[in-house]
Amino acid sequence: MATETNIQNDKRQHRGRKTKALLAGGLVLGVGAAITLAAWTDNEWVSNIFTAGQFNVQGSTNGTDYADHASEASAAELSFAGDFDSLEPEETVYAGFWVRLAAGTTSPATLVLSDFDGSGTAAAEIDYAIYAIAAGATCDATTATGTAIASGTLSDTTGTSTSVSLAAPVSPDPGVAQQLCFAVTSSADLAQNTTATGTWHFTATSS
Amino acid sequence: MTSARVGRRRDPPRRRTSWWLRTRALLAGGLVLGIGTAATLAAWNDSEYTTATVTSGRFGIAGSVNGGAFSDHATAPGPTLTFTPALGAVYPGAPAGFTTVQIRTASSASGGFDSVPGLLRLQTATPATGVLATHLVYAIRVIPSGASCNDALFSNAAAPVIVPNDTPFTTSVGVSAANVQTLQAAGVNTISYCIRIALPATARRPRPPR
Repeated sequence: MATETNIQNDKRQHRGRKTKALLAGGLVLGVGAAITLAAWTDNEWVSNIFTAGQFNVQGSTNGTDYADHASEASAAELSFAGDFDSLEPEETVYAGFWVRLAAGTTSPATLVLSDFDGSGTAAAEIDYAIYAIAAGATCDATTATGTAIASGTLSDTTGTSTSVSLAAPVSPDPGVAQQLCFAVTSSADLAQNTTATGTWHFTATSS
Repeated sequence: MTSARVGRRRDPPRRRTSWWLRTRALLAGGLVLGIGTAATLAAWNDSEYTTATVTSGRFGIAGSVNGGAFSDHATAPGPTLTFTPALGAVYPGAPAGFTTVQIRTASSASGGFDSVPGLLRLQTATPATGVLATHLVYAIRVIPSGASCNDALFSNAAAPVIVPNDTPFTTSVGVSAANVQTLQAAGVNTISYCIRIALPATARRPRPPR
């Protein structure tokens, strides 16, 4: 018991010392503040309106008409050359998708495929590959070559890609477009009268 | 000995101190990392979505024999061919019999679905057997536009040869470039085969079974 009391006393003494130290510190600060207030004061105000830059990426399925497709519900429907609605086994159809930074965007960007969602009875039998090609090129078997920026199957539930640079626009024009060439290929096991849908989510990040 | 023991006794508190130092260093490092991540998040983002739906096609063919209506004959043996003139009781040198088989892709116009295009190849499902089969000869050609299924067709150079003239009936249909016909989608074109069967005048009387 005696030992306990001693410890408590010690603690109490310790706390008292700490409080005193703090008060002393506070006094010093108070003196400092008083001195500052005693000095003459004059004010100079400068102001500037900082406007946040704009950032907007747009897409087009024909390379001419651009619009925002900012949600899955408003996704742009790819326009395929070839019989995408009557696909045969081991057939490839091609579609271009153009992306650019809208006029007024103040910084360049990097674009990546950030997500993918696919479904349908034919999903497992349909592969896709995306190639970055020149805006003026035709997306077909001759241009959809080299290293794809992204590839997968329409039954995937996620997707990634290597990044594509988007140049900042020069006012008043929009940025230079980048064409993404989609090559969609059916496997030899494609069943008749089946369907698959894929939705690609691209994210542009200012850089 | 004594100094070593002292050293050992002093060791534990020092180790505790360095452990605490390391922890604090790690915490400080963590704070720095946290700031780095926050800076990356400060960039602007904007999304673009695009979607595509692809649908597989359907493929189907329909056939017509003897000039009749087109219908599906998906299982063997299929419809029976009728030859003109009739090949009833054939005899050596009897007039050859002719018949046509027509194939086209399915179409919604004829009550089905619109088929995708395809390539058509005629082949023997079951080679002919029987005593008479070894004596009969046959030939098959594709009837070009404007031609008819008759004797003249089998000397018409414009008619693709599927089975050469006077081939023994026991010989199966071979693989050749001529034996690949292009069928357009949805029944746009029809491939017509003309089949000729004859018992040549040189055929010997079948040996009666022993």
